[in-house]
Amino acid sequence: MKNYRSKSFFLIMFLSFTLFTLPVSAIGVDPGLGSASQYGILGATTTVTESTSIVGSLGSGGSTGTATVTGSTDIANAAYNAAFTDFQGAMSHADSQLAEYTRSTLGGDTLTPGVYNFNNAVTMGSSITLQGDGIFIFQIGGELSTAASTQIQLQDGAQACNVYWVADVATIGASSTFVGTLMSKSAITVGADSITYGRMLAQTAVTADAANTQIIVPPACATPDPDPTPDPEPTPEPDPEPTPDPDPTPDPEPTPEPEPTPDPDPTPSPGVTPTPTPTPSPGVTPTPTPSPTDDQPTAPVTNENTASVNVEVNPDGSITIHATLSDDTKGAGTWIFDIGGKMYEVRGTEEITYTAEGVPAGTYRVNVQFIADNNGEKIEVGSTTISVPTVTGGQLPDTATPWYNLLLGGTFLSLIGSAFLLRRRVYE
Amino acid sequence: MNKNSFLTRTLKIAQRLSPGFLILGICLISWASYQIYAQSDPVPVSIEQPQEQPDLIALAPESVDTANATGDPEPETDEILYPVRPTVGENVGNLTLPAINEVLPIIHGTDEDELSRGIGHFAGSVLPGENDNAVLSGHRDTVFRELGQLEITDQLIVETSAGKFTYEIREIKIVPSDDKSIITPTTSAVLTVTTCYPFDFIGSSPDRYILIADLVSSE
Repeated sequence: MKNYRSKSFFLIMFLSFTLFTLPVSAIGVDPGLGSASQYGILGATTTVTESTSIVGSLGSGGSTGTATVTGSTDIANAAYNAAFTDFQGAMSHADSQLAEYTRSTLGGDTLTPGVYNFNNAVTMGSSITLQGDGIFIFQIGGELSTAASTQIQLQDGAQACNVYWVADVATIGASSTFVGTLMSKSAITVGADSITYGRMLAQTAVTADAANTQIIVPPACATPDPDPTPDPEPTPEPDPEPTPDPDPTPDPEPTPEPEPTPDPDPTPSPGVTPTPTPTPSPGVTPTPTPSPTDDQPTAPVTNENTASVNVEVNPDGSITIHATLSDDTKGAGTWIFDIGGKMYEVRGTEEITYTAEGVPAGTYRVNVQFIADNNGEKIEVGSTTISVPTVTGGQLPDTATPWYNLLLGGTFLSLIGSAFLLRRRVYE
Repeated sequence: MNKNSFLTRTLKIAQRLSPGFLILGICLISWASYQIYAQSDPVPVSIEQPQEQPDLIALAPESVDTANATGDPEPETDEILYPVRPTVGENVGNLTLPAINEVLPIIHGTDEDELSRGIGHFAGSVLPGENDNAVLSGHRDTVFRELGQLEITDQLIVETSAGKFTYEIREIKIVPSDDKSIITPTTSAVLTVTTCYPFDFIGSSPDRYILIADLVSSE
């Protein structure tokens, strides 16, 4: 009896232990694309045009049209066959991983690394943010479609090479920014003016013949280093060298220089000698290089003219900030955007494109700062004034209170109550 | 027979509960009346009037510079009236309606939390005084009970941290509650005031009462 009791005790202990360890073991594993990793577009049939630009290779069992490809174009050859087999293996590996999160919708949220399972078709109606260094796997039991002009943003060390999507069939919206390797069990259709930092791999057809479609294959991820601090390239998103501008609409403002004069805040605007900071060395100012400011690590240093801030107001009320550091400041760091008094912090390198949603309407100033990782120096990159218009077609607020309903209900109840009271009295 | 006994039993229970009904009913009436009373006269907030005026002056030519620098000839020369934008739940200022002798606080946001404290400023619209459509909404049965008495050319005065803005009513209309043409951008400074309509309708009302006013002076 005693033996039996201790046995059952251990059994329960063991079972609860496995219960606790199960979710931990469910963290996503890189599915391993093998030779398919060099392909921006891979499919049994592909439809492209010359305005389809691929930074990477194109693999196809039968291609219609020719794309602008920086890598190789493999049509029904041995390389294509090998890549296609590797892709199918990776897709089943990604699709079979145990999900940590089960969801039904996508849009407007910030997600951390993990395996996400959707039992249904998913329409990404608004932009999402992937946050953190790790593998993201999205298993979609139906069609994946992204709405026009949506974006997938990367934050805090999330990398395009670590994002995988598996769907039955997929449609990428026009003018959207998609991130990750999209593996479809059937077809993929890519919308016009869209930009993909990832791959479009489909078992049947890839249709990417809309105007200005760009697919940029991300480089292989840096070593799967478990600790996130010495991250060599935190966001692969802002490397638009092969693409002139992710946004094809003609930019009305020719990049306002940060023009040292109109700086309203009391920070040392013109970058000349009389810095109000207590550092007595006037020799610090002509060199904005970060070395000698050890005693004042957070002292704002105004930069040379090459730094620029450009803010655009999008039709949907969000704003897109494009900021570049001057040539002599490079490397990773934290961008700080002050949008009408509200701070946004984003990890990035010397050039960044950031879209902020839900910014207030009205006229106010966007101020951009950058804190470099290597020395903690705060750089005033620049600022500009924007006017965000009132939303179009806002829903009129509901301005009825429940109090009249309660008054009516209360009256009704008291009437019933007094009616019965009277009746009782009559009976008695 | 059986049915009859069931009926008498129910009646008996109802009779026993009748004092409870009565008490509950009276409680509901007094609670609702108290809420209507308490929310009808929210206390106006004190506004730090523009000591920031020098700041504004300093900012104004600066924003002109920015517009010039961007090579944009369009009137991007809007002053920055509110350098720090309010967050939801924050006081924005006061709305004065001289015609019905009311001064009401304006809260940023139009959820029930904000509307129970005064007039809500629709968060997706610009703030009063700015060169676009600023939208204010209030409960028809508390703060805006007498809004229907306002007439065209009556004044709406908004006082905020950026100054005192006087608007004059240009248009009064009634639209369905799902009308999407009211909250839209405008090219000049406009104040749109909305509430539910009909004013004494019980239940959530099908229409909205809209006042559209143009900025006539700002100081």
